[in-house]
Amino acid sequence: MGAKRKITCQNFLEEMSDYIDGSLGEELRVSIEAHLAKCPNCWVVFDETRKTVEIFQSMECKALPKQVHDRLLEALERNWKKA
Amino acid sequence: MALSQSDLAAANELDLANQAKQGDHAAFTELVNRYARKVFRLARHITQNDQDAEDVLQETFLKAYSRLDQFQGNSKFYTWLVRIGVNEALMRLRRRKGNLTVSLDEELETGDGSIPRDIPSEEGDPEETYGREQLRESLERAIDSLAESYRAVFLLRDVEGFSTEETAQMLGLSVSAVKSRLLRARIQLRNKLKRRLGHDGRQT
Repeated sequence: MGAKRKITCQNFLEEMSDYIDGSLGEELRVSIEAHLAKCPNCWVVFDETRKTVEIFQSMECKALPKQVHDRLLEALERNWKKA
Repeated sequence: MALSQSDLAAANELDLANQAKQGDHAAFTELVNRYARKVFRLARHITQNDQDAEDVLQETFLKAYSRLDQFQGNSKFYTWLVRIGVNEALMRLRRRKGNLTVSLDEELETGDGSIPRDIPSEEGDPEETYGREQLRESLERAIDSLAESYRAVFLLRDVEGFSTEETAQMLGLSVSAVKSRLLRARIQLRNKLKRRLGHDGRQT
């Protein structure tokens, strides 16, 4: 299936997030891919942004500091005693 | 009937929430143990302040417990909890609003599809290998450097993995506002990280 819509670099940047998320319609996706295939600059922006998103998506969550955790449980305990 | 310790650890969040609704404090504590760190991270990034984040954390779980009867189980418990937490964090931020510095890229919000200008990459040797802890810290700093209006959207969408619609609902934004803020946040973060990603796009 050929690209039906001519995509400029600006169009690509506007759609890039949805393209990364895989939430574009079929026709637009095909047009975007046709643009990426012939525009190395946009491809680099896309590839780096996709990797950036992946890094954040797999980011670890630091354990809660013990004192913060203890104070949270104490606050709940106080609340439960009151009730 | 109360669940045993091993049952608690294995139970799904819906069962735990239902047990907690019936007054099982151990079940609720298990939910605290599962989610407190993520609520705290979210609150810290939104408020940018450890004390506020701790207050938000406590308020979120206290409110969640007192409103358990309102949790219908239609959404995930975590989604419901985060909604409470985000509201608390944003409320605290609004109260502090007078003290906030205005972000450099704020004015770009008015642009019609314009893309934020390049901002300097993070300082540091691109050849340096980062330990996991250092990487996490540098990612946290990168998130903190985002404008306030992009930060919550980015956190909920890309760090917490909520859908565009859920994020829009939690923040009281339109779906299109979430999408455009997410795009800008992603591009800004890519600019900050690009030296680490390498010129050819390969992760280093």
